[in-house]
Amino acid sequence: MVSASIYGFVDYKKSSRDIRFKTLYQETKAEEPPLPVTEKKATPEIAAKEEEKQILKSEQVNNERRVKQKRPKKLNAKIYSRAALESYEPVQIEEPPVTIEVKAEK
Amino acid sequence: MLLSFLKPPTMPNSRILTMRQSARVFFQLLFWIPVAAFSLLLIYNTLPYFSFSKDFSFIRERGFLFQGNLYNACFYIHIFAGAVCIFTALIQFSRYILKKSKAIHRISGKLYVFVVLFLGAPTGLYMSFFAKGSFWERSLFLFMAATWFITTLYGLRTIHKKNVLAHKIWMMRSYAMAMTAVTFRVYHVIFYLLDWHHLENYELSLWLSVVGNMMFAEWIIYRSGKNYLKSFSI
Repeated sequence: MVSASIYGFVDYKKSSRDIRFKTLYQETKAEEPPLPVTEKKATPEIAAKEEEKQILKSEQVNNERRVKQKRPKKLNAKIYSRAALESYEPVQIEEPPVTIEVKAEK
Repeated sequence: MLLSFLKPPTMPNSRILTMRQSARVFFQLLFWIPVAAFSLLLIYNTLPYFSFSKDFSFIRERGFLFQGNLYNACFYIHIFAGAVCIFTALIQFSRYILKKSKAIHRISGKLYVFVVLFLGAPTGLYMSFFAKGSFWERSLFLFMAATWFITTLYGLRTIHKKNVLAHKIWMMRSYAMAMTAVTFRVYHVIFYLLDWHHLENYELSLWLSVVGNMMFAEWIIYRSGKNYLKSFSI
């Protein structure tokens, strides 16, 4: 137990510096596409109608999204686990571009 | 004198005793059937990991950790130890087996103690440093591993000293720690069905399973202790 705790602490200290460990359990969030923005017309009646149409459209889009997002949850033996129950996608870390300094020869 | 028949009898008659006994058996079955079912389901779900494939969401989520040989080894040892100790512990609390054959109790008990002290608890302690959640969840995993080790060690020491009552109490505490793996999964599934966010679900299930199991074990010990003391009353 003593050696397990020492090894664990030392390895934790080592890996805690690594960016991959810091982002290990971060969850990806699905980005929602922005709603279409329309330019306002000069006349108030046409503008009101256009606004209504836009509201209806956005409501439809929202409803479709809700239908797509809400999946029926099934009870089975596989979900009886310690793992994340939603489908997991690991975070992709963009590594900074490597810059090679070339010294100019004199 | 006329109202003396209203007073409860000092010694319950055989019908009341039979009723009490059958109620006790019923409640014991109500407790042990789900415990056994969920324990066996946990073991059944552990078996596919021994294909050593990396295509499990638990392993994919911890891809970086599984690159290390020590963490990899600790994980497989830990799940093997967990499965063995949960299976062996199932038969340890059976009075029927203890009466019929003490050898079964002793052999499976020795296996349980060996697996916890040398495999399950140390590997769990190592892995707790890298557990999911905040500092407090990692500390809770550390506490769990240490408590599991200490309670099992005390259970072993007390039976070596022929102190059966203390042995029972310490092994109950040890089993409560082992069963956090089972109760965690039950809470996890319940909160998942209640649409809880994964990380909140994970953390809450973890705290509930550890604190709940400890409190339940202490309540059982307190109750059996009270009954034991009652047996001395005149």
